[in-house]
Order: sequence, then C-alpha cells, then structure tokens
Amino acid sequence: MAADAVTEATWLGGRWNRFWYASGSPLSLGIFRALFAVCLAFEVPNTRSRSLFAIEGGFHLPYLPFIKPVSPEMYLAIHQVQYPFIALLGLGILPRFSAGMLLGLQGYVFFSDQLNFRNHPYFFLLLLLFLTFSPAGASFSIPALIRRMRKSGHHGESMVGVIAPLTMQRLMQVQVSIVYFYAALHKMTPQFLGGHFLADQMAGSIFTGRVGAVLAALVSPASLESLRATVGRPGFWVVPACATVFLELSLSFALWIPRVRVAAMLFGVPFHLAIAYLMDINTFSAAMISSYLLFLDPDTVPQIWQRVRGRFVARSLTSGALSPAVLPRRAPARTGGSGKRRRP
Amino acid sequence: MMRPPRYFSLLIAGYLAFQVLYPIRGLVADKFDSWGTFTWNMYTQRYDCRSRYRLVDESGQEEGVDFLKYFNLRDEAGHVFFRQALPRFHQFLCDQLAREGKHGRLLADSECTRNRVETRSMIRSGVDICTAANFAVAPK
Repeated sequence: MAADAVTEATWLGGRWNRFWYASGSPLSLGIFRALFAVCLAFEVPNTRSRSLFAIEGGFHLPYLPFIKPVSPEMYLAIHQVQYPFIALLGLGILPRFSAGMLLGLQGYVFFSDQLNFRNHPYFFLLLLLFLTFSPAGASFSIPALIRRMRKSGHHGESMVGVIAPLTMQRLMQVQVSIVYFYAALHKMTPQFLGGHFLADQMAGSIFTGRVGAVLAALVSPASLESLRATVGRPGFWVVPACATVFLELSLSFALWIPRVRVAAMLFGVPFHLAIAYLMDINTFSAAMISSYLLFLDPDTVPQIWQRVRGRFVARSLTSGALSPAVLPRRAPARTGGSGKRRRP
Repeated sequence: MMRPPRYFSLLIAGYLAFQVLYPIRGLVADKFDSWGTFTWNMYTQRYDCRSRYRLVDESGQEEGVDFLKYFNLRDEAGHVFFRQALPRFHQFLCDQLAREGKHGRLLADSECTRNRVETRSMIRSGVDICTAANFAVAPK
C-alpha cells in the first residue's frame, strides 16, 4: 500500500479509498449498460448525420494531425459496424471488448475534426470509456445468466449475489454530476435566465415538433397564433429558465444524498422527458435518466429484484405453475458495498 | 473494499482535475475565442455570423467566394468563426483557392453576434487575409 497515491493513513485517504474502491452488486451497472446500449443504437444515425466533417474533402480541424478524415464508404462502415457491438454490449456479451470497440469507432469520428464536437457524443464516449474498464457484464447479462443457470439450475439467482468493484460506476456518477453542475453554471447568464434562449429554442420547436401536431389538433388556428406570440416572448420563459438552472444545480448534488435522492429523481425524470419531447433530444435524455440507476445504493436494485422475484415465485407456487424443487437451496451471497446489512 | 491498484488513485485524481477545472475555462473565456468544447455548455449560447469572402484581382474586379462549399456540413460551419479556429480556416482557404488557380487579394468581412446581444467583427476588413498577420483575424 506504500506506493498507492492515497493511503489509509489520513482521514481523507480513508474516505477516498472507501468511495472509489468500494465493492458491491453490479446489478445497477448491468441494467444501465443494457439501457445505455439502447441509447447508443438510437444515437448512431444522429451522429452519422451530424459528424460529416470526418469525411475526406473540404476544410478539417483535426484535434491531432495523425487522425485523418475517412472516405464516405469508410464513414458509413464505421457507423454500420457499431450495431453488432452495441447488441453485444446490451446483452452483456464481451461487454468490455464491445465498449472498447465502440469507443474506438466513435472516438475516431469524434476526434477527426473539432467541428464534430457536440456535448452528447462526448458524454457517451466518456461512458463507453468507463464501461470498457467496468464489470458491467457481471450481472444482468447473458453470460451471467448462463453461468448461474449452470451453477444453481435456477435463472433468477443470476441477478444477485455477485460482488464487483464499483470504481467505474463511481466515475460515471461523478461524470453525471459534473455535467449537471456545469450545464447549470453555463446557464447562469442574463440571456438564459431572462428567457431569451428558451424563447428562441422552444418557440419554434413547440409548433413544429411533436407538440405541434397535438396543439394543431386541439387548438383553433386563432388560439394557436395567440399562443405562438406568447411563447415567443422571453418573459414567458423566465420561470422555466430559472427552474432549469435550479434543478440542474440541485441534481448535481441531490443524487448523492440518500434522503433526497428519490425526490431528485422524481424531478429529474420529467425534466429530461420534457427536454426529449420538446427539444427532440432523445438519446441524451434517456441516458441521463438511465444513469440514475447508478446512484442507487448497490443493494437497492438487488433487493427490489428479490422482492419482485419473491412475489412472482409465491404467485407461481400458489397457482401451481412452479414446483418447489426449482427454488434456490442456499441464500444468495451478501452484496456488500454500502456497509448496510441486507434485509432478510 | 478492494485493494486500490497502484497509481490508480492518481489516474482518478487527474481525470477529476480535468473534468472539474477545464470547464471553468468555458465560463471565464471570451465567448468569441472558441465554441467552448469540453466545457458542458449545453444549450447555453446562440452564435450567429454573417460572413462574406471575395477575391479581388489585379484589375480590381471582385468575385464572391462560396466558402460554405468547403464544409461537409454547412449548417455547422459557424463553429469555425471563432478567433482560435478562424486562422486555420483562412490558411486552408488561401491554399485551396491557389490550388484552384484563383489568384488575387482575398478580402473578407465577418460579424458575429453572441446570444443576440454582443456583436463583434471577427475579421479585419480591407486587408488580404492570405498575407495579413494571423490571417486577418481581428484581435480582441
């Protein structure tokens, strides 16, 4: 331990090690991995249409000179070949290899030109980086399911009982908080808080996007015109703008505090759903909502799973659909990580 | 708790330092210097530019330059009109026009407005951007 950057010798060192090097159930991480793979699948066409600077020809502003633009065919291939790896990642088959391949493929396109920069792919790249080094396939994956079925002969036990390092999960949590924190800080400008940005951004999208079709069906043309004038005024957006900044800033901290975590999530989920619905920012919103799973105590998801499974088994036994012989013979291993005892 | 791998804490600390400190640059830097990449400035700025490039031959005849055709994605070309990126684009434009056999003085005007409130001229007008210092990109 003497060569470690942080030793247990100090109070801070001990806290640091307990935070970063904790172990626990990777079930939340596994579920997040599967959900994130769905987000990635929907993000590929979006990135493909908005990262055309990676294609040869025209002006380029590479981050590094050795990253060369690619031919149109190669550009298409780089995106198409991502789907099998996304599927593997989602199923938890070779998840580290798949995440690494996706990191390489998406990273090449991303870093081939500074004009390709968007915050959402950047966030996704960071998550892929963490998944590459994480034990995300240890739970909620096909290999884990097969392993447990071979071992215990009962598939339900594959979800719990596994313990893995939570370091990469912690990094993802911190990254999500950083995104919220700086997104809020950047919005603390008179233009944003005065509603100008939202008026610009939303006034158009409300009437042309998904809401537009609903409004057109429900509201008369005259009322629609009046509404258009109202939402075009910055004053209309002052409260939503201030609420956005307050919520983003709060979420960066509140997700870490057990007492307010669920409340924070209850505000965060509709916030991201609104962004997805009104601004058509779908995959990023979905990834942020999915990331909330990572903030749950490592024991929480396995406990919920056990409870749901218990009810299912009890109902199946009552109805006679399940034989008592298939029930596990021994109690699952303790998941640990949080320092709390598992409920019996 | 697992045993921390050697030097792994340093990697984590370095990563955190970058993620926490670098975005501050986006908060304090002049918004006309760069788009603010890697700073999580999501949906916080509007940047509109009106730019015009023209080639003036020896007889004084002007010919407009369709500079947007050199971008694979025209809608995102505005990301170039920042002080840090613009010299590189001007250098490319000078080389490219020479390759196309188009010679003369390359003049340009570009006015950019941030969040509809602050407008600045990004290029020194009336000077040949191919021979001017810093490719005629206006100083702060």
